[in-house]
Amino acid sequence: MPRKKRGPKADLKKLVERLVKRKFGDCLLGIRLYGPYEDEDLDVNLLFKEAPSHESERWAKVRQELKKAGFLVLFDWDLWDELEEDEKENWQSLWTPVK
Amino acid sequence: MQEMEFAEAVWRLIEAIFEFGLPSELMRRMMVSRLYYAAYHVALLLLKNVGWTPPVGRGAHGLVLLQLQQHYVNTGQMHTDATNALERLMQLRVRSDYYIDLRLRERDVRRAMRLFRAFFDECIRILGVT
Repeated sequence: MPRKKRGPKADLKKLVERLVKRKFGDCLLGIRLYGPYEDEDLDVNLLFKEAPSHESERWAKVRQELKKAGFLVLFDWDLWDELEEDEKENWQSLWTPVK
Repeated sequence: MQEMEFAEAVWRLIEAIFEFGLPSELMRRMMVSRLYYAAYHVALLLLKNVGWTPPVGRGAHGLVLLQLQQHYVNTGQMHTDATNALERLMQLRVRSDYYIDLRLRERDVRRAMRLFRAFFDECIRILGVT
């Protein structure tokens, strides 16, 4: 099944940022966007203050919207409490703080 | 070597490496990559069972996720947590293979192990093997 490629990458970044802020804004500390390196459209790593409640439902909505837009975006995330001390001290160099 | 046997062998190797102590960063990157590819081959086995084979000469990783969704999740045979785990494992593998300036930590390998198990155990259930 061919995937649609729409618009410049900057648009996808904006879409992803908007979606994760909307769905995870209550627990989101930072976001890191990178790639793509293979056949994905974008790689995303999020930093959460704490594990989001109703996580599955929230992710389902994010994935559904990106799929509808024709993008394959790969997500992974870290929790603040699981970071090592050096990461906590320098987290703003690893993730872009969410305002 | 068959897919399930390969995946079990990779899992045993990864567990064994941790028994010898904390692996080096290079080793951690290899561990994440091996776990992902073990899961990927099991995913291909599932898809072969429904008549789908990956296109030659094109990146198939994203397609595999879409096909699993279509043939197994949408039909109620596979829990969506399993494909989500495979997707997260794929992202970790991309990070470990390409993002070499970003340190890959022990917890990332532990996470890759949990994600692998979540996907692999669901595949074992679907395939009815022990």
